[in-house]
Amino acid sequence: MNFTIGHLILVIVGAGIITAIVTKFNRLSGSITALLLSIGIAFVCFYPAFHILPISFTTGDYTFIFNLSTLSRFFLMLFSGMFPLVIMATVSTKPKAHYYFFFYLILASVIGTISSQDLLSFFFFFELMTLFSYLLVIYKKRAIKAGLVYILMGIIGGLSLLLGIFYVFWLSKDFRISVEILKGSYATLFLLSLPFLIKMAAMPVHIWAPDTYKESEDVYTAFLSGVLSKLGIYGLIFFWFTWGIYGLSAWGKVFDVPVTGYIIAWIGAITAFIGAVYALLSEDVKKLLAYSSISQLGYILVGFGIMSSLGWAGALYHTLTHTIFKTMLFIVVAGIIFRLNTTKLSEMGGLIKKMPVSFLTLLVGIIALAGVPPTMGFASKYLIYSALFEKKLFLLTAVVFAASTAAFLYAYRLIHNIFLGPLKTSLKNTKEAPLPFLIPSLILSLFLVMFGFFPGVPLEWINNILMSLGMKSIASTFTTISTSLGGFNGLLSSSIFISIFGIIFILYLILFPKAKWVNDKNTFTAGEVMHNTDLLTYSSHFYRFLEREFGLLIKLSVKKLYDNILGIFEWMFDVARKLLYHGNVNGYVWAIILVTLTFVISFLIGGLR
Amino acid sequence: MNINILYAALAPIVAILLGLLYIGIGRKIIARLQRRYGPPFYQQYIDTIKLLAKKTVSSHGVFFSLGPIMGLAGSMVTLLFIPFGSAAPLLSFHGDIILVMYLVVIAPLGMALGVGEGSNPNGSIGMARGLTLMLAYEVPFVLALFSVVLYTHTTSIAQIVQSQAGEWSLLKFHGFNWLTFALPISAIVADICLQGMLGEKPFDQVIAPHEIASGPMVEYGGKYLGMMVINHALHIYIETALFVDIFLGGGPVWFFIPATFSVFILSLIINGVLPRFRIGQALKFYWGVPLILAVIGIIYTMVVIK
Repeated sequence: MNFTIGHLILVIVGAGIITAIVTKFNRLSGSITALLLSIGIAFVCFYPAFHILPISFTTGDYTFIFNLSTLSRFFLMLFSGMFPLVIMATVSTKPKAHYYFFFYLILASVIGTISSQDLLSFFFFFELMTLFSYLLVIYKKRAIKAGLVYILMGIIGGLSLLLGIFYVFWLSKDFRISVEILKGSYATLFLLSLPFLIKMAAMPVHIWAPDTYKESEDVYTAFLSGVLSKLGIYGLIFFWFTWGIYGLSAWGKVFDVPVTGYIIAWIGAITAFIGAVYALLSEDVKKLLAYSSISQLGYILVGFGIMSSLGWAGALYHTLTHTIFKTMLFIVVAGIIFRLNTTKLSEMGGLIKKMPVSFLTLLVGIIALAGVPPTMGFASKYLIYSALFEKKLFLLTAVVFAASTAAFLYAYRLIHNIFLGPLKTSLKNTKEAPLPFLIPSLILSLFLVMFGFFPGVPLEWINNILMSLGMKSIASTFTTISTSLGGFNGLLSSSIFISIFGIIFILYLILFPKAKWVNDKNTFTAGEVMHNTDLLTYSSHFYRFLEREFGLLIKLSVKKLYDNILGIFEWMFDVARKLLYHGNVNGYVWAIILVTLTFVISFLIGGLR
Repeated sequence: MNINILYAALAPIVAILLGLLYIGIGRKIIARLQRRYGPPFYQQYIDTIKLLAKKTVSSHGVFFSLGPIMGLAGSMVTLLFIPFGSAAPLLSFHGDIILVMYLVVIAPLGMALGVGEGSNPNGSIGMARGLTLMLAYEVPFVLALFSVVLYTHTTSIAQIVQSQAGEWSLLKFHGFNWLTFALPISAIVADICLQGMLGEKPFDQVIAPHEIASGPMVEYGGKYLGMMVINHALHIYIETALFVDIFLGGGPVWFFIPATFSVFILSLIINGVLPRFRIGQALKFYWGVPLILAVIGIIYTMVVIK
């Protein structure tokens, strides 16, 4: 069956309208309609017999072109595949009609963005996406203040994109993306990169992310952080590829890497490290995940900035990994918040026996986040490190490695403060999160483990993208990835771990007598009798000793920097105001005379010419 | 190939026996440093067997029991990817040093889950400290490894071992090919990091018996404690074998075992005479001089290979 991208977008908008109408009458049936329609859309995008054709139409002397390149097909799979899973998690929260409407509109505009091959329609759909996602961010009343920062940063990004596009048009008299004249223009490169750096929450322009992720509706945060932020890396590749790696190299190289890419890689590394530090010090579960998201997108920027085929493979691989595990973590956490009605880490604890399935899925998620082998998180880390090793970027390696070790710290904190430790007495009657939260997280954790055993499968798609971009592909089979330096066998290492674990577990079952179960009160307290186990919770300020060591880093804040810049401007204008409006009549008369004289003199000089 | 699989099956047992032996001899040496008589060198075997023979098992939950199992499995899979000197490469052709760096953390993370379910704050504090210590030493250590990769143009440990292979005769000293002599600064940095990896003083904040009642081990007793002791023995073998393979050229069995032992004893003697850092101080220490040394080591390597 053949249809065009236009049809696809119209169908999605139509599905949104139908869902909204049904939801108006009955919330539950609306949610189920949304779920069924989203599964249908994902099926249409995935099923190989359906061919999505390009479309183009001309108005005046300008042609709009929509086409799915290999790169955009990858992102289409990502977005349309995650969409039904996120929608599934909304079923038990039963949102209002406009929630689903905007959700579908976001998907439509995202597909518009990744399929547009000309600058004007790219800008149009990109901005639509920002607008609709703003409308969903402020779905909860508490998020209005955070949403303001979000839309403000969105507008700054949009204006920068528009300026860049005009600049391109001024240079080339064309809105097409493949133009030769772009080579050598720093300004366009900056203007066309800024909106995507904002979307990916890279460090100096990340200020919207922590509050927006914290305050927005819990399930939507999964889509916002897990899926929508990936549009940033798509945009970067889409635009930077136009310059070509060789074109970018014209500006000089550092360590065999183009200067511009090197700068991006450093932005990414610093983002990764500082984001991780903030994550491990935050006291709120959604803020922890928000900073973790910022940090993880930093790795993608590092891989992207290296500008080699290994680096880009790492960036794309991590895009996939991060999409899966961050969507999943946010969905699991949304389920927990749904039951507990709190996001504070210090108010959770000991839920492992109450929520075993949530615990298991979160466990798989943090293993992938930490990049530890039986999950696919390792393969993306592996590619990024190999790229860094290959280009001999040792300082970047140090910062990135520090960031990824810091990821162990906040990952453990996440699982410890929610599930481990003594059970809080206030949470004694907590139930397992509802099924709509559990099913998508189970499906996603299955993918994380499966691709951990077969790391070459996603790499095959990524190799296709690399080849379509004219880069070398990475040598791989289904189970192995090999680079010029070394390689690893995912199936072997993972299955050996699982089998050794199985052997020891069987030995444990045979040799160990049946354990005597003891409760939380039955712990070593140096002889003190504990009646209130809440006092034994080690939860708030988990890494207090690090707070002391990173004190300087915590004090530095980009928000304060922006405030200071604002202060400087205020001071400057204040000085100017005091100079001009000083309240002295003589001064005003002199100013008028001076201005008149200037005009007269300039007129005279002009006249003499 | 078949012999290699046989070796791989034997490797964990050999590693456990070696690790326990090292701990036993280490206890004797520490005792002599402190002018005590000390236990016999086989005391650790007796202790472990005694612990494993205990009859009562008390558990706080499923993951409390699974934690030590996961830790053991993690350690065993790690040691299979580290060659046993140049005698047996085991599985190290199927995974390189980056894989090993990440496999190493399975054991502590698995243990951390069990410790957490033990719901004792001392254990949680110990784990928080352990992860912070990891954050401290991994950064200089990865830079030391970076210089090795720069020098040998490979990340495969087996190939790094091969690149240091030399003739073994009485007339020719094997050590001339060691990376310790080619990259002395990086070797020093890696040895400093080894002190933290082994958790010996001044970096024993994780256990810290006087402050947090043995930290992670606080809730574990009997057979679980026996498993943790075995895991500790495996851990000692893994870290020292990694160091010997990379910086001391692996070598045949008669060299490899004494080499790992002397690397362990070196860190144990330092342990015997030093007090404990605060965990914050440990982080500050590792991100100070060793980090700078590691960067100097890399620059030195870049100069050498040019």
